This record gives sequence, C-alpha cells and structure tokens, in this order.
Amino acid sequence: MKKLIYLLVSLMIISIIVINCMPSFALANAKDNLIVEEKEKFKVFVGCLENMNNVEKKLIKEDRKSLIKKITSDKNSINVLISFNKFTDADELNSILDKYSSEIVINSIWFSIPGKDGRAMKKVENNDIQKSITAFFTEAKIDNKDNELLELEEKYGIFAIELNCNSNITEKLMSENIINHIDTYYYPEVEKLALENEKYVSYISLPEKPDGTG
Amino acid sequence: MKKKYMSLILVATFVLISFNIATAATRDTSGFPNWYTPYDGQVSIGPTYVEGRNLKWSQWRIDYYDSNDYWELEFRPRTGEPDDVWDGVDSLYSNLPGAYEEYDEDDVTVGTYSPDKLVSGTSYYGMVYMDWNSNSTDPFFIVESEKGLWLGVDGWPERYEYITTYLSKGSSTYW
Repeated sequence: MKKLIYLLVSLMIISIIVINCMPSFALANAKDNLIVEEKEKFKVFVGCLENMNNVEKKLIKEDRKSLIKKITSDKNSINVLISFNKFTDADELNSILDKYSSEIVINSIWFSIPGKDGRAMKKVENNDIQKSITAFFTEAKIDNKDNELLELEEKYGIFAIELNCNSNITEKLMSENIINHIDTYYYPEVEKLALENEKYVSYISLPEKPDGTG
Repeated sequence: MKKKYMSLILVATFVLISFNIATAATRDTSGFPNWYTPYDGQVSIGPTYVEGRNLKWSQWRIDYYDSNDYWELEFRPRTGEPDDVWDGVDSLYSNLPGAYEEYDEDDVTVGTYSPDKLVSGTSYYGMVYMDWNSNSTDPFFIVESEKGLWLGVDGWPERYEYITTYLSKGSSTYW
C-alpha cells in the first residue's frame, strides 16, 4: 500500500512538472524556427509563424505581445510588424489606421496575390499607402514586363504592415479584429547571445499570410 | 578507472568535433550547380536593384530540401558594403514561397524560407530594389547560392557556392 502511494505521488509530481514545462518547450521549439546562427550574425525572422502548430503559434503570439507591452512601457516608440487575418486594401486599412494617424509612421506594407506563393513589399512614404503601391507598380514595370506583375496589380491584397508607434497605440492595435500577429524587431535572448558571441543580429521581416501560402 | 577517463575524453572530443563541424560553413568548389542551387537561372545587378530570374529547380533538387531549410541568393560587394552602393531597401518583389530580403553590412539577399515548397520547372524570380545613393561606388560583386538550416541557436552547417565572383552594376550572368 505504501509503495502504491509513493508511486501515485511520484506520478503526480512528474505530471505537474511535465504540464508546467510543456509550454516552455513548445515556445522554445517555436522560436527555433525563427532564429539562425551564422558565422558573424544571428538571423531572426520577425512576424514568421511558419512550421508551427497551433499551440506554438498561440504561445509565440502571446510571448511577443507581452514583450511589446513590456518594452513599450520603457520606450517612447517601437517598430512593430503586424500581419492581418485577411487580405485587405488601402481604403480599409486607412479606415482602421486613421484614428491613430497622427501618432503612427507607416514604414512599409506587404501585399500579394491571394492564393499564390510570393509577395511584394514596398516602403511607404508620408503614410500614404495607396500612393506607395502605385509607385511600386510604376517602378517595377520599368524592369518587368511579365504577366504576373499585371496580375498582382489587378488582384493584390495587403496582408501586413510595419509601423512605428508608441505604447498607447500598440495596446489599442492589439485589440483590432483584423490583427493576426504583432511582432517587433527585438529578441532579447538573441541580443544577449549575440553580445556574448561578438556577433550582430539581423532582423528579417517575414509576416504570415492569411491564406497559408508562402 | 583509466577506461572511464578514456571514455570521458573520447566523448568530449566527439562533442568538440561535432560542435566545430556544426558551426562551420562549407563552400562547394565543384559540382556547380549543386543540388540546392537552381539548375537554371540568371542574376543581374542594376543601378538600384539586384535580381535573380528564371530560377528553376528540378524535382530531385527540391526533394533534398525539408521544412527546416532555407535558400538564399546573396549579392556581396568584393570591397566595402551595400551602403556604399545604395541607400537601403525600397521594395521586394518575388514569387518564391516565403520570400524575404535582407540588407545588412555584408550583402543584399533575396531568399526563400520554404524551399521545400518550390514547384519543379516553375520559373522563379526575386528582386530587391534599393534607394539611390548619390555617392555610390561601383564594386564588383560575388553572387552566392546558399542553403541553410533552422535549428535554433546551436548553429548548423551551411552550404554555399559561388555563381559568379565578378558581377558589376549594370551586368548579368546566367547558367
């Protein structure tokens, strides 16, 4: 009887340890998909949720949200990469961002043909999304005569945006329905490793697309 | 006792060798184009862009890739850095799955996060457009095809090979 009680207690302790450690393992596993060490640098893929299961995606989203909340309380403003849960257009995006317009700077936007691999990114000037997209096609047509560019122009949907804003805005943006994932260009654990190994960190934007294509 | 120490030394040596192998990048100097490189392609450098076009992988090449791999086309100035030539990235345009660009002190890169999702025979392209630099220099560039592996911060061997070692602005080469 005594042995059985010992066995049950041991099993309970092991279960508690496993249950408590699981999220940490899953989170660490998810982050493994985002970080690469090279000879002189660490690469970090910001906004990326590729190769993750739903649990890992949820954990990484929460982890990044809490980090953003933490660092925006210390800093005046940060750059955030926001991916959407659907393709959208400049008008809808403006209607969402207009209420924050005096307090945000839009750095760039990502767009693609829904249902197809590939993507385009364009730097945004003066917070004018539509003008920047128009400039992209004007400039790209000088060097590209292919049909895919024409198809992109006709069918594109915006799926992500990078902007600079303060803590107050990031908090509000997190509650917008259209937002899938919000990330920032700062991974403290990688920064620490880079410092210890005398390397630098290269942050690469790879926002998630809403249709599951690459 | 001696045996125990010997085993420990052997294990330690194995770990050290493995670690060194794991953090070393391997340049392939023969067999171009090796399996991770498109069998066909063209690379160009324009006044304000770098690009890869008509990049094609056959099925057996794609089959070697798995979901932990990435592939990059890197344009590295032989002297100086990209900031001597351009003034940062303006835009990216690519049909590669999980396409991304990287502009840092070493090179300008267009890559795919998911080379295992490439489709054989498809003509892929990746273009990175930069802002004009009025004090631009005109170095020669090394263009590399590189394959790497995500495995967290432990590092892993990368393989790369040169596509060309002397590509200048306004020129292109194909294979």
